[in-house]
This record gives sequence, structure tokens and C-alpha cells, in this order.
Amino acid sequence: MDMVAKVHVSTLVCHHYYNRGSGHLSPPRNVVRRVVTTWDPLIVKGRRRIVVQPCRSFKSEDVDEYVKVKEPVNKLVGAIRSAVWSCSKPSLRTENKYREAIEKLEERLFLLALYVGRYIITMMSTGVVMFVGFQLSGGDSQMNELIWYSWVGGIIIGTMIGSNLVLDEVARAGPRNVVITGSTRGLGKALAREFLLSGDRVIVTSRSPESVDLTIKELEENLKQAVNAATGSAGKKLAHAKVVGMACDVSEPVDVRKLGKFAADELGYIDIWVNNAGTNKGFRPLLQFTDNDIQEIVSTNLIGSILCTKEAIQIMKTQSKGGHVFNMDGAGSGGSSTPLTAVYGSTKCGLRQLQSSLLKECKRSKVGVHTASPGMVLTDLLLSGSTIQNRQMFNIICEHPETVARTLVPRMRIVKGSGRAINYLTPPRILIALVTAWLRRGRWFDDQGRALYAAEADRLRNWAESRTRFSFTDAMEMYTESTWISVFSLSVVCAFIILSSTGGEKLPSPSLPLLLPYSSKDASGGADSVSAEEENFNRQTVASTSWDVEVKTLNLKSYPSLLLTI
Amino acid sequence: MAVPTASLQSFTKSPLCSLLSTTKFNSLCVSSAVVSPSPTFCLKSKYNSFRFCAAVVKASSSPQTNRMEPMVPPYNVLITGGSKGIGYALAKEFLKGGDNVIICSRSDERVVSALDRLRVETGKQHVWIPMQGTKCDVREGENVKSLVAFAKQKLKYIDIWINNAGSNAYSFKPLAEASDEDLIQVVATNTLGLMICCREAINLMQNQPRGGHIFNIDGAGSDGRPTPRFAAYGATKRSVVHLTKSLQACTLAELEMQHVKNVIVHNLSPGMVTTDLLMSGANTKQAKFFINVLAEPADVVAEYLVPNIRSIPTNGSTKATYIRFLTGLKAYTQIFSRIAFGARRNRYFLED
Repeated sequence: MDMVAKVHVSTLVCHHYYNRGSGHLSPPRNVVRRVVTTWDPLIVKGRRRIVVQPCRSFKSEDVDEYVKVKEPVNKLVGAIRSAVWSCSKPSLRTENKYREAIEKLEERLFLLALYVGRYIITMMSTGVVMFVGFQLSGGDSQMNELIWYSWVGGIIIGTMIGSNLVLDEVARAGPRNVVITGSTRGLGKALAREFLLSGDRVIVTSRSPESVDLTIKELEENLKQAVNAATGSAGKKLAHAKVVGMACDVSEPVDVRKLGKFAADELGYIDIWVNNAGTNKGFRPLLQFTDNDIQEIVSTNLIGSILCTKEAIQIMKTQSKGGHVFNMDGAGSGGSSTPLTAVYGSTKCGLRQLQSSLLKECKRSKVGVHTASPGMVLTDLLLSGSTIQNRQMFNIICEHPETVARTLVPRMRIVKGSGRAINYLTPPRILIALVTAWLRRGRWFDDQGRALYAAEADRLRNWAESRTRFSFTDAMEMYTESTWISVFSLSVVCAFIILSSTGGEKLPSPSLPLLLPYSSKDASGGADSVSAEEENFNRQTVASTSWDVEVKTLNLKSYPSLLLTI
Repeated sequence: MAVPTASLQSFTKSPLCSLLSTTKFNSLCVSSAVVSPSPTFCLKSKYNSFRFCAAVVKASSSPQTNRMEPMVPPYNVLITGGSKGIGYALAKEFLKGGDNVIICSRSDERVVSALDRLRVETGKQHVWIPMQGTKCDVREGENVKSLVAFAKQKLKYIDIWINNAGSNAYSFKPLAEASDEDLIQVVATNTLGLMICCREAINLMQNQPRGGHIFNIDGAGSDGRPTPRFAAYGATKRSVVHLTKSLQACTLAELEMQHVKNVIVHNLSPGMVTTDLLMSGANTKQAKFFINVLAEPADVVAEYLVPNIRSIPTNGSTKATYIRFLTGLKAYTQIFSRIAFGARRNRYFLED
């Protein structure tokens, strides 16, 4: 809260400063003088971090990323490094201690720069909105007053919403207990790892006990590395993380019941249950599937999901906090036909219908049923029996399971209510994939369909290093919706002013303060002190609520003026 | 001659051609393209030669299309799960139309009694059941295979195969309270059984000169709308419709890709029928209302459906269809007349 309040005081000042006619935007020196004088190069860097992202995500994201980003940072930090070097105590001048100190400093600086950069962008967007407002008002003092009032109102409302979200976030923090079926390879394993590294207690399951043991060992190793690498609050977060597992065939009611009991014994209660187990058995026409193949697909995908959902709902109904069940979407969920994977597609399609029924059944309980859609993931399920043509297509739209898990897990952890759909392939992602399709050729497979990407272990090593950074698409998602809101509100303001001036009639004054608060709100967010993913989430929620309000206001207030002009 | 060769190269390199790349087809393309004198002609002949290639591929891969016979009544009909409910009514209706019918069921005695009743009620003898003492459980691949063998031996070929076997375990409960056995039974019968039957039916029919038609019966939830209290049933029926779609009902469907042209998979929607499956769920006010307003006895439904089914092979249609008894318009009219005039009140159940 402290943080939020402080930020917004300075916002006001910043805008006064800006309004006095300075061409570019920089934080006023009298308020944050220390920041400006000391970290000035870093502000640039902080902004560049966001701007620089495109290049990263177009290339093979996980491999070169670390080196690429490190380079400009080193140059910029080099100056400070030498400055610290010159003024530091002689006792620090041993190589190791020096490096440690510098690393710590760098970390702090990154954090600060991130905040400052984000802050500047938000300020700029409010600035643009206001500037256009002033331009359009044409020096009408009453209009200017209105704009100022609405801006202050926007700041206040934005702060309230933002702090509410932050508080909510704090209240809901803490480890979750997660059960993931079919989690010894592919996406399930990536999800398990991501939950684990978020500090959750995870149960992994699979049909074979050996692979469960192997997976547990591997994930524990990952966790150990993460704990060793983590410092401060990150380390504290991981303190409760643990991974256990048992063999479980999801199509066997006895096994599923055992799993439920095991989870209840081991973890006490279950927050999240992910029905990830699914199988496909290759791409073939129905005629070439044997009885056993069909039986296995149907029993894993459909019977397994139904039984697990049932068990999870039964357990969660008795818990005071309820819980959340996730079913995984797949090809065919939307109802489009899936030739060559007819059986798989029809089971997934059935699951979507099940979801809608469950939603009605669980309406009044505390249990939430959701779907998670990973899009297309480079796992055995997809790759078995794919042709060269398929693989060329995979280049454009596919992702590694780790990348997908990194996006899905934070959203799954803080899901609320019931009936949410958590998708990886959101419209902006699809758009960017299509726009950059020519850059993505040969991303995972070459012309002959040979895999070009690193094995899982190598991928993980690279990926662990870039874990804390957010990718361009994440950043884009974070800003697209608020940008849209800004554009929308901007156009509403413009339309309002144009209409009111051409109509020659003044509209009732309360309408503008109602309109503009929401335009500046998304920018003044107030959620500055939360991490990237959480911020992303908050923004989406905020954006969706404000959208409704704005539309309503628009309808109510702009009709008379529209009629007048016509 | 330079231009044609270039375009020829580009053509032979195109993925379409590599798809059908055997030496024979390539040589065909080459010969027809080289002859063409001008670039425009070349393009045209390229197209023609491609089509020619494609035609050759299709003809060679499915030789039976050449000696395709028209389908004439009486039809040979196979109905899974025909011992009661809709299946029984359909069998009766087909018999009345003079067709040959095979019915089967999980339970031996039920199917035998159904056979007797059918013979008495219709006065016709051309209805059969698989060998006595052998049950036919659609969930078992072996059972379905022996059913096909029996059908082949008895009738030589099957024109119409109706996948009617379906179950709801006759219980209406929220998913969390349903028993595991019920859930498995529902999914296994409705989805697994139907898939196995579809596969066997296609296998059987694609080698028949007359081809064949497969009808999958849909049910509540097949349009994707929620079905609380019978969630598993709805999910399976949704997957049935999706399977049909993947197999046939779209441009890029599986059967088309394999050049199976003489087997067509259809959907059959009986709407709400007053069978055990539906009536066992009539314990809430809402359910009673809708059953009274919308449901019809199986005989009425079958009387409507069977002529429609029979008209498909009669007309020689090769398009996948979705035959519905309870269309949206009909349903809304009935609901309206109920609300406006109180029609159909307390038809099957006493309301309030």
C-alpha cells in the first residue's frame, strides 16, 4: 500500500510539470531527484528492456536470449560498476566479494528500472490522453477543468482498484496444493515444474511407477537448483515447495480414489486439480486403430477425466476453501472436425460439453471447474506420426511445453470463480505468430522435418536463466488491452468534444468526469508493486470491468449529442 | 520451349505432386505438359494433367467404385441395441417397410423376447439376432466382429447400420454423486462402443458394391449445450456428433481423404423419446415440464425417422445428412402452445 500511495503522489506532480509545456516526459527533479541523478541511464535501459523484447521472441526464444539481453546491460552497468569500484571500501576489493556485491546491485537496479520503466509508460499514456484532450478542448477553461477533475478522479479510482487487487493478491498468496495427472512427461511435467518453482506442493502421477519416481527425482533436482539460486524473498517462497507422486491409472476408479486419498493425506487439502492425462496414439484413419487403441484413448481422455473430476469435486466440496478443477482442451474442443485423430478429437469435444454441464452442476458450490488450453505444444502427443508439412506448420504456431507452462501456471494459480478458460493461444499471440510467420520458418524443424531444438535438459538450463524475465508476448498481452482501452477512451473523448462543439450545445458536465477517469485509470494502475505476471492479470481484470462502465456511459450520454448533430 | 519446362519443373516440385509422386504419375505429367506449345496452354494442361493424375489415383485406390451397384429395397438393416426403446421401434418400422433387420443387445434373453415380439407384431419373419447364447456387447471389439461375420453370412451385405446402443445407466445425478461403474458404463457404451461399431461398419461397407449408410444416434448435449444431472451422457453424445463430423460431415474429412466414397456417415436425432432412458430422470419439476411438452413415444418417432432414413439410399444420395425429429421450430411451437393454451399438460406425468 505504501508503495502505491507514494507513486500516486508523485504522479500528480509529474503531470503538473508536464503540463507546463516540457516537450518530453521525465520525472520531475524536485520530487525524485535522487532517482534521476543516480539512475538516469538505467531508466533508459529499463525502457529498452521492454522495447528490446521483439527481437528476442522472434528468434529461438530460450537459447540465445540470455546472451543477447546481457550485452547492452553490461555496457550500461559497466559505468556504474567502475564507479562503485572506485569508491568502494578496500575490504571489498577481493574478486569474489566484489562480484557478489555487484550482482546484488545489478539485481536491485533491474528491479528499480523495471518499475520506473513501467511507470513512465503509464504516465506517458495518461499524458497522451490528456494532451489530446487539451488540444481538442481548444483552451476552453471549463473543458480544461473537466479534464483535470476527471484525471484526478481516474487516479483515485485507479489507485483504489489497484490496491484492492494488490491486497487481494497478498491475501491469496502462499503455496497451493496441486494434483496433476499424467505429469511425467510433456506438458504435464512442465506444468508440475512450473507449479513447483512457484513454491507449490505438487503431486505427480502417471501409469508407471518408475517414471513417477524418475520425475520426482528430476523435479527435486530442479527445485534444489532453484533454491540455491534464489535469494531473499524468492527463497522464502520456495520453502514450502515439495513434490510427491504415486502411480495412478486415471481410467481405474480404484486408482483414482487412491490418488484422492493420497493427496488428502499428503497435502491436507487440494487447491488445484489438473486433468492433464491424455493420449492420442498417432495420426491415422479410424479404420487403422485397433480396439485397444480406441479403448485406451477413450478411457484415458474421457473416462479418466470424468472420474478424476468427480473425485476432485467430491474432495473439494468438503474443503472450506473449495478448489479448482482444470480440464485440458485439445484439438477438436471447439467442435471443428479432426480428421486422422477422430477418436482423440471427439473425446476432447465431449470434454468441453462436460465442462458446460459441470458448470451448471457446481454453480452453488465452492468448487470451480475450468478449462486450460495449451494450444499446440511440441510433445510426443503432437509429434508422433506428423508429416513434414505438419512440421512446417508447427514452426509457426507451436511452443515448447515450458514456455506454455510458464504462461498458464500463474493464471491457474490465481484463478477465481468458475468456468474460466485459460488459453495459451490468445488472439494477440495468434496474430503475432501469423504476422511473423516468415521469421518463424525453421524455428523448430528444418525443411526435412528434423528437429532443431535442444533436448529438454539443455532447454531447461537456458530457460532457468531467463525465467525471471518476461517475454515479449507477455508484455504485449499486458499492454494490448490497456492500450485498447486508452485508444477507445481517447476516441470517446475526441468524439465527445467534437460533438459538443459542433452541436453547439453543452452537454451535462458529469459525463466527462465519468468518461475520463477510466481512461487514465488503466494507466495509473496502482499495481506497480506486483510482479509482471500478476500485473498482467490485474490489468486484464481491471480492463474488463472498466470496459463495461465505459460502454454504458457512452450509450447513456452520447446518444443525445449524436442525435443533435444528425 | 523454355517457359514450359520451367513451369513444368515448378509443377513437379510442388507439394501436391510430391504427394502423388510415383514414377507413373510423374511421367504422365511430363508427357502432357511438354506437348503444350504456349505458356498459357501449359498452365491449362498442367491443371488438366494434375486432375488426370488425381483421377488415376482415386480410380486405382478404390476399384470398387467402378462396379458400384445401386441400392434397391428391401434394405438390409442392422440396429445395435435394438431390444427396446428407439431401437426396437425403428426395427419394427423397418420390418413394416419390408426390409431385412438384424438386432442385437447385451442381454441374451431381452433380445430373444424382442425378436419374438417383432415377429408377432409385424407378422414378418425376416428379422434376425446373432447366434443364440452369444451376447453382443458393442464395447467388445470381438463381439462386434462376430456380429459383422453373422450379418455377412446371413444377409451378404448391410445397407443401413444404425448405431443406436446407448446408455445413461438410468440414473440422473450430479457427477460428483454418480457411481464410477455407471460413468464407465455410459462412456464405454456411448463412445467406445460407437467408435468400434463405426470402424467395423466402414470396414464392412467399403468392400460392398452397394456401399452403405451409417447412422449415429445423437442425444441431449450433442449441440454442446449443458446437460446437468447427466453430464457424462451429454459429453459422450457430443463426442458422437464430433466423430461423425470428423469422419464425414465436412470438406476435409477422413473418409474423403482415404477415397472411401461409398460409405456415408449420418447423424440421426430422435429428439426426446419416452424411453426408460429419459423417463428415469423425470423427478424434477422442470424435467417433467419438458418431457410433457416435447417428448414423444418411440413409435411416433420411428414412424417419422424410418421413411426419412429409407429415402436416402432410395434417392442414391451421397451427402451426409442430419435427420432430426425434434427440430428447433417444432420444439418452440410446442413450448409456445403449452404456455399459451396449456396443450400437452400432464401428458405423461402429473405436474405440480
